[in-house]
Amino acid sequence: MIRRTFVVVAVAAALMTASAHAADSAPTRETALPLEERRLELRALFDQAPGVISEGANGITVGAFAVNVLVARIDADGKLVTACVDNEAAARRFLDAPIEKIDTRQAKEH
Amino acid sequence: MRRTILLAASLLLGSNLFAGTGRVVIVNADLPGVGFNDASRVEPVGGNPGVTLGQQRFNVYVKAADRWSAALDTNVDIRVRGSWADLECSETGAVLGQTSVLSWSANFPNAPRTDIWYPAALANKFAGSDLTSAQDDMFIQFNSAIDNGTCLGNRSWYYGFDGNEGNDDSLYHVVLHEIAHGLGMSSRAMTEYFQNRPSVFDLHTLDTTIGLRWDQMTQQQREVSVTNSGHLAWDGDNVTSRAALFLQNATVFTVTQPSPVSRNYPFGTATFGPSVSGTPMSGRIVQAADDPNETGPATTDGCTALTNAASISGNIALIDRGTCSFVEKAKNAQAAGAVGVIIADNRTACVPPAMGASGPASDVLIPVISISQNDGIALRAQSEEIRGGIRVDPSRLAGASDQGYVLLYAPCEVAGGSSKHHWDVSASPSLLMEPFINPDLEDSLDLSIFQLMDIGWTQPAVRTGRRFLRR
Repeated sequence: MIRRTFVVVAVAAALMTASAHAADSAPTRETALPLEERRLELRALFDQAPGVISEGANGITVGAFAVNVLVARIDADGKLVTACVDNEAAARRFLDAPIEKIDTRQAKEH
Repeated sequence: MRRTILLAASLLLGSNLFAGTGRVVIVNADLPGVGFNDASRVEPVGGNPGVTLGQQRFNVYVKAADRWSAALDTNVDIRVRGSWADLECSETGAVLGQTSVLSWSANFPNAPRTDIWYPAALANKFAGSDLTSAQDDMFIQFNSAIDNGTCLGNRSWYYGFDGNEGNDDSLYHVVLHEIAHGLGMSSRAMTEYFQNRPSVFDLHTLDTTIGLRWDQMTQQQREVSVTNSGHLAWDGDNVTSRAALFLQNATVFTVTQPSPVSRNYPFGTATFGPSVSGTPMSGRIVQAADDPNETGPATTDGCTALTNAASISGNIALIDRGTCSFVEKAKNAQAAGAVGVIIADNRTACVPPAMGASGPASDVLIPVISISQNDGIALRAQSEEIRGGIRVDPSRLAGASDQGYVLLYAPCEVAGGSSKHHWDVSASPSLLMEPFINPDLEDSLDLSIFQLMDIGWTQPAVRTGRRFLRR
């Protein structure tokens, strides 16, 4: 429960962090947070709550719902195979599937 | 000739002389010391001059942003919130990154259609102002753990722009791909519409089986359509009219006789043996026979020397999948004199398998393809002679439907539901917006820019020669 709460908070923090334009965002030297405190699980990426942002003279604007998540596997030949998926179930199927099943490319000639 | 046309098209798209005032802006959302702000020293690579990890990462985002800025015309900045985080990963699998359109708008001033969801950046373009000035238009985040040596073996992100990524993953092409999702190659929802409004992408998503676009379907029809592999297509004029500039002719497997099975069949290719498009094969298709033994108990799996070599010689061997490797089957058929091999799947799947080599395969000199289990059963059931083969069809494009519409990705298994917001993987050459980031991608926005035009984006105006003379 605590972990899930932290993940949601981390996603929210990533989305809400104050922004700065490219020109005024010079990299600075800081100590990175420990890896284990920052790692986001797959589920958190799809945990976005949609909602109405505004409604009025400028029409209706609603928040994000769909996301595209890029996942990767090492196939049986040692090559990197990627897939761009838009739901947690598809991402999990790709990541957990037997390795010989993940290459769905067909009739591709180069 | 084709390369000349492509080059001309690329130069045209690369021109930014007459674009609107808007551009794609990268917003650094990382905390100090991480992601874009990681100060770890690195050597410049592949044209990327950054000397810290953070600089190189940011440079890649900016280069991809500039590429899209040059291709699109808008008076409103397109704000991309960029970030890095340690996402899920393991030795063999990982989340590489994510993209999200941060808001969708409908019924805004100057909206081309009512009750249609438009992604933030496109809605802003039509409205001529930033409808959601309090927030950015899209969010793109990548997995920084890939660079830590803890994910995907010893692979890491490649930050160069020269295509020399080797076994690593080129971040540049991935960012180009993800920005396209944010510009509109995505939907507010998949099959279940929010507030019963379709997204603008759905207006050109056509199911050729039932002849309806997604906005014309019921939710139940959309749920069937999303896995209708080979029949979900894009019907926008900008893409359809230019498909032949970017796609080569399709290679097809056709059975020509007997009539009950005469048609084109979907097929999978092998990573070994000669290219089927470069090595056409034709002739009789003959079921291979071999002795049952401990290695291959079935008599149709081609796992031992074929016993009907006299029939196979000079013809195409039909072999069942299973028991031994694809390469062993191909070698046994080749030894019997076959000019090609068709391997019928041994399990129910809507997509014939792509075949990898599990051992030395350089001595396989005949083309090898796969077909589905059902198609294999249908061919074997014929009592008459079967003839057919592989050929390049000048009337069809690789990755397009019979009607000439470019196909969208609608996988029916494993990655089912992955996304119709990609081109189908049968496209050839590879396209930027396929679900797999293919290593043969060039620095081209290919058909993807025209797909964006179909949903309402415009390219920078190209002035006439007369205007050039005045300058």
